[in-house]
Amino acid sequence: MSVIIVILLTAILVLFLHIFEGRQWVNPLAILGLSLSFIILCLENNSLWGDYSSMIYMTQFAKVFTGTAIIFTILVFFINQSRLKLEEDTNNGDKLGLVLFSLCGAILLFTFTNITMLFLGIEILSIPLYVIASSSKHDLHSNEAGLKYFLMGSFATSIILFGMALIFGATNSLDIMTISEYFSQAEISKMAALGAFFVGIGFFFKVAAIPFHFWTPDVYEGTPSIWATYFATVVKIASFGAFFRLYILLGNVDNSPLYKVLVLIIILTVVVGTLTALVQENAKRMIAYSSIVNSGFLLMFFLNPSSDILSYFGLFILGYGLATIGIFSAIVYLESIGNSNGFEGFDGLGRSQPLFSLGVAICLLSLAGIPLTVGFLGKFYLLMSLSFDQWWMILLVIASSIISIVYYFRIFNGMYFSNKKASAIVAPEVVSPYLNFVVGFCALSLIIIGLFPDFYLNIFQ
Amino acid sequence: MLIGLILFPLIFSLMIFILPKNLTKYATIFYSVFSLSWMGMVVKNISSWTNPFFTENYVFSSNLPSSLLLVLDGISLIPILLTQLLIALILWMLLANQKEDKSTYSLIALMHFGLNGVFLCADALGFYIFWEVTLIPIYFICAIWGEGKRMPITLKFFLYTFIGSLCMLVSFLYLYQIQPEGGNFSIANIFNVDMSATARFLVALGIFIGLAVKIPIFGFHNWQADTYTSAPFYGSMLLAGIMLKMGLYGMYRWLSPVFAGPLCCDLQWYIIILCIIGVVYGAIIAITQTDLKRILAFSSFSHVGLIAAGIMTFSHSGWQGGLLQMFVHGLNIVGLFYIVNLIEQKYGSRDLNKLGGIATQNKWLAIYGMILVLGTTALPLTNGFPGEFLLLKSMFEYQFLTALFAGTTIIWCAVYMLRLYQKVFFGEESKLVLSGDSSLSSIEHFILIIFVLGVLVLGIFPQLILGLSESTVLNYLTQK
Repeated sequence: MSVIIVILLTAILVLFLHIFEGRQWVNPLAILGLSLSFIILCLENNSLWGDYSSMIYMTQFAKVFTGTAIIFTILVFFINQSRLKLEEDTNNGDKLGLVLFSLCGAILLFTFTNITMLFLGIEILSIPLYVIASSSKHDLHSNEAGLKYFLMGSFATSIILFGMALIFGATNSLDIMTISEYFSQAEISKMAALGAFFVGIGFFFKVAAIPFHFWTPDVYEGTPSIWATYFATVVKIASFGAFFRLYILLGNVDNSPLYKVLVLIIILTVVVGTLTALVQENAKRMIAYSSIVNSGFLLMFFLNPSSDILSYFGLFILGYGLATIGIFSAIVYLESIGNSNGFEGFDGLGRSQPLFSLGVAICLLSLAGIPLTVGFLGKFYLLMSLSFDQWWMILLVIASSIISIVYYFRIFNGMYFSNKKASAIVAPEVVSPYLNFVVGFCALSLIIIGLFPDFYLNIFQ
Repeated sequence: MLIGLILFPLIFSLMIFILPKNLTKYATIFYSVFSLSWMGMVVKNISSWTNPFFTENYVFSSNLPSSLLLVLDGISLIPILLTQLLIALILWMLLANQKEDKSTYSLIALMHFGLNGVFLCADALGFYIFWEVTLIPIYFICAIWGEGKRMPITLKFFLYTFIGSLCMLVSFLYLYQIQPEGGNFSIANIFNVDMSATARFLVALGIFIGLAVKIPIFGFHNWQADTYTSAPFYGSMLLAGIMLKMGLYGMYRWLSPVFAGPLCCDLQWYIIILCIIGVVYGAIIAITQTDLKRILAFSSFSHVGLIAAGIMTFSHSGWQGGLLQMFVHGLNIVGLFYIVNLIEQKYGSRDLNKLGGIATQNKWLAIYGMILVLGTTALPLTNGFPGEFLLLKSMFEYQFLTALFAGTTIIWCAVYMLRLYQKVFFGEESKLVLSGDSSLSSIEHFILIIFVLGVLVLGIFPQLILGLSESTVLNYLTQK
């Protein structure tokens, strides 16, 4: 619990520091607070946090996911620091505070043992983000993103709530263990099945599975890139962490009413996502579709849940998150020197910023699933987790990986092999050391964990 | 011992970035000599020539059912020797060309790392990883320093090989999954499984597609000629000289163990047919080309078809001939690519119609070229002959008809190679040749003499190579 308390305190401090004359300390303070909470998390024992009516429980899985989310948030704040050097932002404290609040919601999503907490977690995670999405006040796209995210998000939440009500009606309990016991019976009532179905649909919204994905590209494009990084990584992890736990707990996979829907949605997500990513002309939208495809891959882990799968699932999402943060920091850099978000913005980056683009290149290779990176291991474990009876799923992963090469390599090729004199060459602005740090951190961890996955996988045991 | 072959290239490839620019040359010389002598030491330390010479195992992760299992036996020794030799030669060529870009050396060293890994690793997952690793540096080399429409061509090459290798990965995954509890990806376990004939066929097909794209075998070859032509000369050398051998080597190590049962027998027949079509088709296309690099690309396609067909007969002469020819083909094709590069550098073109009469201007280049061309056309007492003879023998033992068509390779090869030689070196001196610079530096002489010695020495003593693999091949074939 102390993790959440520390983060909350940091958020409040940040808000106050912002009012009093301490703006330049806001960002470092937020990073410091998060680092502190990370250390506390490492020291904490796994225990039922009994003071809260046994409603939250820190499992090892939750601990790893919480740690990952905290680290991702720290990286996002580092990217934010690079922006503050360039422009005066009078609202920075508010934004950081909101992000920290939503991080608390994410942690609740990993630790809930009661579906009320699940609902609270979703709301605490989402509401600050509706504000963050439209935080670029004078930008029409940002406003559109905020409104769209708010409408879609609240619809999804209410559908989840409806499903929860039905489940409660059928099982007469809000406790996740009791519900799980009920769902492991051979026969379950229609009401419970319908409830599970609605909860599932709500979560498909949250994780941006097709056909519930329409908000994703618009929100990623409209939201200021720094916060879009947060959306693409931490929010994704949080939604998936909760969904995965719920899916496992709803038990009895073969009979699960969600199973058939899940299979259908995976196929749609991977196929449509991959093909749509192929025709995008804007790097941020491409990343949005790539995140949708990755959602499809992550959903595939749900098909054969077992105890090992948890750690592989974690590895996959870690690889996805680190790589996405790396690419987003390149986008933030390009925006800061006035380049467009189109692929041509990347042209010549390899020559003007060799080391920085090496890091970005590693992130791209990892997303594409090239060996020696976490991305490869993630896909490898994904393939291992599928049995050969599900050969069409394997085919889907393979085909999508092949096509994904084409769209990831558009950035890659632009950076290294373009002859065009794009503005990245003309403008020799140095990359901020903070961005360099973020990209370096992402690239190095992708390679180190890609070579020695034990570092990460053993934490789960 | 063996881990050195993998670690040193990796260390060098990272180190070259840190070193100051004026040291690049010395570091590269040191590295090439060092890797050659390390290889020499490995060979010297082989105490018994029975299978396998060395085995080393390094466990990376307890969560992966796989480890870095390195095995050196007769089959891997030959491509490993070839790799060390050619990488050193290619580095010297670059030094002779005054190439100063650090990243080129770094990428070639990375390539060296991947290639050594492919040839040494006896763990399916490790093999796959190294196989993919080789793709990254060659992609960079072709895309940065290539010519013409290099981007779409390189991407096509990348996609082809990537699709192929993913098919291979799925086969390996299947072989792993059907093992009883506690299995792993090591070569001993992965092929030690019971499968239905259909499953065996599909697994073999998956692995074959992965290998066939790299080789390339007819039907999977669409990327090849364009990529060879648009790549810089050292890129073509790496592709034709060594990377192609990855596919052939894979046939020995990773394809042959799954081949059993009636369906696979059919598959074997179809593969051999494809190879033979490639032999004839490549040769005919080569005759019609005017770009020197394209001629070499199709000649290589044609030659490799014969090697693959020989290996697929799973006979003693086919395997031994295949190994010998792998080495020889690597040496000859790289030598020829170097000559083409020298011609292009000195006379500014590699178009057959724009060249001519180089022999009167530059007699040494003509002599070296003649010997290499004869080696490629498999004249007796040159290095091409014994391997081709063994391969054709294996074809005859397999079936008369295939041998009949495969046998035409020698005629075809003579046609396009002699046409090439005649048009480039003989006849009236063209304008370009007269205006070009017709001298060879001592290091260029040195490099070319190594190739020429290779042609002559291996032509007279093929046993030097055949002896290395004899016991391993016998061992493998009796087990099968």
